[in-house]
Order: sequence, then structure tokens, then C-alpha cells
Amino acid sequence: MRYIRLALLFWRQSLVREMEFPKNFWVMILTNGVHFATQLLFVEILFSHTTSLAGWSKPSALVFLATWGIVTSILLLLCEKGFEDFGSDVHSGQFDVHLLRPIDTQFIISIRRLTLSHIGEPIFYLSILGILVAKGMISVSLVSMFGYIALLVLAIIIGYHIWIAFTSAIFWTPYIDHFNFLFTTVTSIARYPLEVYGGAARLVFLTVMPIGLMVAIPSEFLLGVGTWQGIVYALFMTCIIAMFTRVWWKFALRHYASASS
Amino acid sequence: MRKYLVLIRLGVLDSIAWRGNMIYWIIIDILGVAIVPFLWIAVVGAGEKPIEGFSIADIVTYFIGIGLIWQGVVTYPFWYLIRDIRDGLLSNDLVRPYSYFGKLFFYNIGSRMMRLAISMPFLVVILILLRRFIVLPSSWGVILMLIPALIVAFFLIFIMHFIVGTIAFWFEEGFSVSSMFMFAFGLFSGDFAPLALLPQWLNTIANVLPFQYVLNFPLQIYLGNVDPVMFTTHMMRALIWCAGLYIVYRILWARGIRQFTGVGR
Repeated sequence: MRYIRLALLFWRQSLVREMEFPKNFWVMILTNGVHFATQLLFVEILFSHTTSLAGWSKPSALVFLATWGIVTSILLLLCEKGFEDFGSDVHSGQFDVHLLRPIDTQFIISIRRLTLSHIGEPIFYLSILGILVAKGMISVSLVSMFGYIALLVLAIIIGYHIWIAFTSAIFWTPYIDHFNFLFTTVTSIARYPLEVYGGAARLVFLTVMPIGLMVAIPSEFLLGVGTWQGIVYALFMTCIIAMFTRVWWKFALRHYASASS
Repeated sequence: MRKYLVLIRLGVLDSIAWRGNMIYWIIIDILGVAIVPFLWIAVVGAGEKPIEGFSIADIVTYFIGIGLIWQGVVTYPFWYLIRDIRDGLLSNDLVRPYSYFGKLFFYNIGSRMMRLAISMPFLVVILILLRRFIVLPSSWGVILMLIPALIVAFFLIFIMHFIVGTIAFWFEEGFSVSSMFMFAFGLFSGDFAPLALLPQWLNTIANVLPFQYVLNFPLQIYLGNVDPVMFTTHMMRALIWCAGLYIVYRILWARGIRQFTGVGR
């Protein structure tokens, strides 16, 4: 309960902070809108030359894109600025302050600052799914819809843990700028069906580097080609990744050298 | 001129000092570029014949070229300019005996030389892995046309990004505007796809804009799709763009510097 109250407090602070620069906020909303439009346009360009991308039709490819967009934009909304500040805090030694607080350090760095300019993106990407369903380009049953929502929640949890696992490396490399790009660049691989990358890519992205779990498993379930085994596997992997990440975070934390003391 | 040679050296030395950071950005750039050719290979591979004259080998070579140009040619002076305006650091440079534009230009030449050198091991691995798909230049003439095209590309992207940075004189957070510019650049420069593969209406817009001279044009030269007459025409247009954008920079800089308050200095 204390953690929920703290999260709400942090988020209210973020809102106040963001509204100090309203012009910047609206330009960022517009920029994210342009980014969304560019993604859609790129899929249009690809499908203007073909009817199938590694066996997937255009509506299916759009489902993959929308799922990727929903998951990553929610994660960016919740964690982007917090992780950015975490990098600069480790670099400057300010991170000491968080270690002294009577709450979990991973919790503080993860949720202390919302990036509100990402607030429109989940809606943009959801609207793709809405249009696809409304136009009858994909058929969705009640089961596939609820399964999809459950898998989206798992995808966000998995994405968060992959991100924190990457971000923990900051303790060894505090001089690297904009560490968040590593997560956004790596996860952008999953924006398209994994079959596009050929060979063993699907296997790799569902096991070793499980970004495929964030997009492929929910998308396939919504499209009616997923299985219940897929959901069980995603659930199992979420537990494994969460446990691994917690151990990894604690190990990384022990390597914090504190620049100021 | 000696002071600018010092700045080139400084660019090289900074890159060596911050090599971890540089390797990180090289990996990010490679990963970012690597996704797109897979998509185009899936598209071209699905058909029986090349699309708009592009075979799989052309596509792979094109995107390796894109990766190389990102490393060696594309610079981001707006990062420095926006930061220096926002934090008031620009004041330090205004009282020094060089132009700020010149400082960033020559510093970036040094840092790009180093970045290209550090990228080489990555490039060698990629070339070995993809050797079956690499198109080699068809003649020495291609190389002779490519060198001036890359020099013009370096200047053009530098000045465009510098102009984007000057927005920070009037706008609190210029980084958001720079992100928007990067999307437009990605679309119209040939970063997403060779311009010939874009729909006609997008291709028409791209052909009017200067972005194509940074990525698409040098790579079309490399692939042997540009004859000497076409080369001359396009180089003339690119140089006119350079001159025009330089004038725009001078005007914006003169006006912006009057707005600059040197926060915190």
C-alpha cells in the first residue's frame, strides 16, 4: 500500500514538472505522433511491393506493429525518464541518496518519473487494432481478446525486466550517454514478425533474448494462430526473467562505486 | 587554420578518451540499420524478379553503405548546440578566436574519422558474414564520383543539423524538434528504403528535398546507377542546397545570438 501511495505521489510530481514546459510537452506529443505515422507509412511502403512479409499479411503485420507500440509506449511512459535520471545519478554520485531511503531502490528508479509525452501513443496504436477489427480485416473472438490483454500485461512485465537488466549495466559503464537507446533499439527488432529475420531468429528471440515474448506471442494469439501452450510458456518465462533480473540487479548494485564519496 | 587543425585533433582525442561511449553508439547504429534490410530481403525474396531493379545483393550492399555513412558522414551538431544554448555554455565559445560553427565542424571531422576507424572491425565481420551479397563498385569512375559526393553529404547533413540546433535560441527544448527532423530525414534521405522503392508521391517529395544527397545519392553512385551527366546535375543541385542552407544558418545565427542570454553565466 505504501508503494502504491508513493507511486501516485511521484506521478503527481511528474505531472507538475512536465507542465512547467507545456510547449515542449505538446511538441513531444506531436513528435510521437509523427513517429507513429512514420511506422505506419513504412508498413504501407513494404506492402506496396508485396502481399506477404515472411508469410504474414498486411493486417497481421499491423497487429505486430500495434502490439509492439502499445507495450513499448506504456513502458516508456512509466520508466523512460526514471532510467535516464538513474544513469546521470550513478554518474554524478547522486545515487547515494536513493540507497539511504527506506524503500526498494529498484522501485524508486523505475517509477519516480513518468514521461507524459508518451501518453497518446498507446491510444494511437490501439486505434490500429480497432480499425482492423472494425473493417473486418482481422477476426477477434472474446477468448482471443482476453488472452491478448493478459499476454499484453505479461509483455509489459517482461519488457520492464529486460529493460532493468540492460539498465543495471550502468553501474559498470556510467559514462555511457542515453543508455535507454539500447532497450528501444533492441526491442524494435520485435516490431515485425520474427520469421522476417530467418534462420534461428525466432528461437533466439523467444528464449535467449526474449523480446519475441513481448510482441510475437500476444499478436499471434490475437490473430488466432497462438496456442494455450504459448500463454503458459509466456507465464513461465515471465517468472524466470523476473527472478533472474532481481538477482542481477542486486549483483549489479553491489558494484556501485559512488562517485561522490 | 592551425586552430581548426587543433580542433580536428581534439575530436580524435575525445573519441579515444570516450571510446566505450563511441562503441556503444556504433552498436546502436548497427542494430538500428540492421533490421531494415531483413524486411526488404523478405519483400524482394518473396518475388521472382528484382523490385525496381533492386536485387537482394543491391539491398544488402545499400544498407551496409547506409551503416557506413551513419558512422563516417552523419554528425549531430545540434546535440552540442542545444546543450550549449540551454546551459549557457555557448558564452565561453563566443569570446574565443574561432567561429562556433567552425569549431563543431572541424571537431566532428576528427571524431568521425576516429569513429569510422573504430567501426572497421565491425564492418569486416559484417562483410565476411555477408560476402555472398556484396556488390563491388563497377569501375574506378564510381569511386571518383563517390568521394566528392560523400564530402558534400558531410557538409550538407552538418549544416542541416546545425540549423535544427539553432531552434534552441527560441525554443526551450530543441531536442523534441530535432527528433521530428530525424523522422523526416529518415523517410526522405533513403534511410528506410532506396528512394526508388518509395511510392511515387513520396519519391517526388524526396527528390525536391536535399536529404537524398546524404544517403541515397552516394549509394546510388556506388551501385552504378548514376552516370557522369546525372552526377554533375545532382552535384550542382547539392551544392546549391549547401550554399542556400549556409545562408539560412547565417541569418538564423545572427538573429539567434541576439536572443541568447547566457543562462547561468
